[in-house]
Parts: sequence; structure tokens; C-alpha cells
Amino acid sequence: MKLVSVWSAGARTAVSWLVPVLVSLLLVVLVAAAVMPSVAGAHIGLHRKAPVASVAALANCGTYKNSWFAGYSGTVGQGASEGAYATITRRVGAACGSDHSQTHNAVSTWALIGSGSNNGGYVQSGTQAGYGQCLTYFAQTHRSNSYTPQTKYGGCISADGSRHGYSQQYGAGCHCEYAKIDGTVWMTTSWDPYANWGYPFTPQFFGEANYRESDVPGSAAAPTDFASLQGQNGSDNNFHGLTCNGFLTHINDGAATRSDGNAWYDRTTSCPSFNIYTDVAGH
Amino acid sequence: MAHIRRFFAAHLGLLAAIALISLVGASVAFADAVTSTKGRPATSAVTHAKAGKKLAAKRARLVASKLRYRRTAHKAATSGLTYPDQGVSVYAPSSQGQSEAAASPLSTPAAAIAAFQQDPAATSAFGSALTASTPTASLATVTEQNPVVSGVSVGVPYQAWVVRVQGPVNFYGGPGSTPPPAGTQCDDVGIYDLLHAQWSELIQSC
Repeated sequence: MKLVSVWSAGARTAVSWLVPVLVSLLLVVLVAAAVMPSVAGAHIGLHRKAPVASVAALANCGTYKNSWFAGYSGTVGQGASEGAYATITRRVGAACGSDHSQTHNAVSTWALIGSGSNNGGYVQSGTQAGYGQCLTYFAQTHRSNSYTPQTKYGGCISADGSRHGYSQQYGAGCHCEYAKIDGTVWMTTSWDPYANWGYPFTPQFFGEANYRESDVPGSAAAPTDFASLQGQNGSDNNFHGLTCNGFLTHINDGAATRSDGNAWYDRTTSCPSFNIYTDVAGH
Repeated sequence: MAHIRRFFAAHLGLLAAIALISLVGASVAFADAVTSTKGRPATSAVTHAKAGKKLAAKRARLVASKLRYRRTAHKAATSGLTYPDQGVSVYAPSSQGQSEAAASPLSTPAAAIAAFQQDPAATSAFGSALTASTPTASLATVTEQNPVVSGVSVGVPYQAWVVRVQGPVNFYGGPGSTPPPAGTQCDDVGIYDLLHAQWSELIQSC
């Protein structure tokens, strides 16, 4: 009995040591697992790779179209705009997986001022990412459908949800249209929009993709938010807030449920501010 | 006594956990400190020292090839070409361009082309066009009306590599706009500011 007592005491002592040690080791493993993705990200940075878009929601891209949209457009012929402005949160949308061409499979968000005579002219600025690549700022001018566009890109930026201002501003002194990002002029048209477009011009605010199987940027928890929507008035050249009186036309080309059960959302928050994002359909 | 042993056993394990967490955190902080977020090379003190020796050797080679660079630059197709909406003008390079190129990590046209093809932002913008055909690279003097990077001022000329390759049109437009006809080719252009070792412009001109 004495031996049994000794064994029991020893076992109890061993267990009393082992349990807290094992718990501590488990804690170490769990914390290390949480920290490891940050280490991996830093390692990628050392190889000169910029943050890239997440894995595509759909492996197979469907019907290609130069532009599928989710957002709002000013109604052609209404208002008095010669410029447009909005703040947009910086997010990246995953491009579908079967088209690896960055120029053929991109996702973007932007603010734009367009011709009021439907001749296809516009000036815009925003963000874009080609398939599997980093997010960049861009600006583009397009005199009309009879001309080819001119584009400018910036370096890689993070899709960190930060809010930035995108404006297309008519310059009365130069008789030109400026494409601006956070107040910095990125492009200046070499032509007068009033000489090439019908007035009033049309403000537009959209997320855009070449495939509906790609995701417009944002999620339900972290949507891409378009706010402070403004039009530059042609009578005083000043920017004024756009109203929520039916002036803005809603377009969502990705509203239908996809094969993965997701859909594009285009939700008014504080009219005319709105969100776009991709999430499970039916919410 | 048993209680005391259990007490120390538990705390030893926690101390070990804290030490490991601190080690991992320090590793992350170190990695962040040497990580570039703009696709530019990460460097260390050792790398700088090695780069300095390499640059000295490159300068010596440049003295011997100075006249060849000048002749090549004067023949560059980019001389006098401008991109009005982007606000960029490109002219023949100055002699300063040759010396800046010699001192740059991109000291040859081939190096400039390779860097353009590997740049993440250029890849996001131009994709496979960067490698579908062979880009050309020439030294040039550049002035800008709409600079978007630090170090470049409106109207102030700087020396640069201008790398060009043909690629398909990128069209973002809104409802009611129509892209150019299929097969439309554009100039995909990267302008590398030699003084500040940065891509100052990524342009598509169709």
C-alpha cells in the first residue's frame, strides 16, 4: 500500500506540473499561428511584391463586356453639371480566375463627368486593379467615341478602406477639364469639353468590372462607400451637393445571383451617398 | 509544497510563451522595417555597401562608353514626343542624363526595360503587353505639368529613362461610352526618374 501511495503521489505531482506546461505550450502555438500571416506578408514585401487582390470569387469568367457597372449616373440632360466629385473608400475587388489578362480583366471604382450628348466623351479618376495585381490610382480622358483615350496610372497603393476624393473639374481659365485625385491634378484635357460635349454634362459614380463573375470592391462588412457626391455647376463653376430627387439613375449589372450564390450590391446609405459590395445574394 | 511547484510550473510556461511571442513580434517588426510598400527594392546596410562598389565600377565603364550613349539618345524615337493630356513632354537628354544613368541601378536600356517589365504597378496597368513584344528604352529629358510623385516639380526638367511598348487599349468609361475598335494599339510608357530612382509616370497613350 505504501508503494501504491508513493506512485499516486508521484503521478499527481507529474500531472500538476504537466497540465500548466501543456496549456502554456498550446497558448504559444495559437499565438504563433495568428502572427505568422504577418510574417509571411513581410517576406513577400522583401521580394518587391506589392499587396495583390484576393483570390477571385469565381474561377470561371463568364461573358466579357468592356464595362459592367454598379452605382449611379446622373440622368442625361438633367441638372447643370460641368464637373463631378465624390469621396470613395479604397478597396480592391477580386477578378474572376479564368482570364489572366490584366488589361482584359480589371476591376475599378471611380467618379466621372461625361458628355451630355451621348457621344461617349468623359473624364474620370479612381482606382483600378488588373487580374491578380496591385491596386493603383488612375485617370483617363476620352474626348468622344471618335477618339482614343489617354490614361495615367500611379504606383501600387493599399486597399485599406481609406477615403479619398476624386474630382473632374472644369477650368474656366483653360477651357479644359481637370482629372484630380485628392486635389492633385493628374490629367488636363487638351480640348474644351464645351466644344466637344453636349451640356449639361453627366456626373457618374460607379464600380466597374469586365466580368460579372468578378467582385465589385467591398463586402457587406467593409463596403466601398461613395459619399459627398457633388456636381460642378455650369453657371457659377462651384461644386454643389447632388440631391436625392431622382436625378441619379441607379445601375447594377451584377444584381442577379451568381453561380457561387453571391451578387453585387448597390445600396443607398444617406441619399445620395451609397455603398457597393459583393456578398451572398438575397440580403 | 505541491502548490508552490504548480505555481512555478504554470508561470514558467507563460514566461516561455511571452518570450516566444516577443521573438516573433520582433521578427515581424524587423521585416516591416526593411520592407518597401511601393515595389522598390528592400535594402540593408550590407546591400548599400555592395551597391556602392558596383556603382563605382559602373561609373568607370560609363566614361569609356559616354559617346555611344549620346549617339543612341539623339536617335531616340521619344525625342520631341509629348503626351498632352498627361502633361508630359519628352526631349533629348542632356549630358547629365548619362551620368545619372551611370550612377543609377538602371544604368543601361536593358536594365530599364527589365525594371519596367517587373514593376508591379506597370503590370497592373499594362499586363502581358510588357512582355508580349520587346520594349524600347531611351534616355530623355522630361518635363511635367501634372506631376504626381514627390521630387518632380511642374515644368522642371529631369533626366529619365523612357520605356515604351505597344499594348491593347485600357478603357474604363461610363454608360454610353464605347471603347475603340478591337485591335487598337497604344503606347504603354514608363518614365523612370533617374535622380530620385522612381517611376514618375505610367502612361497609356492611344
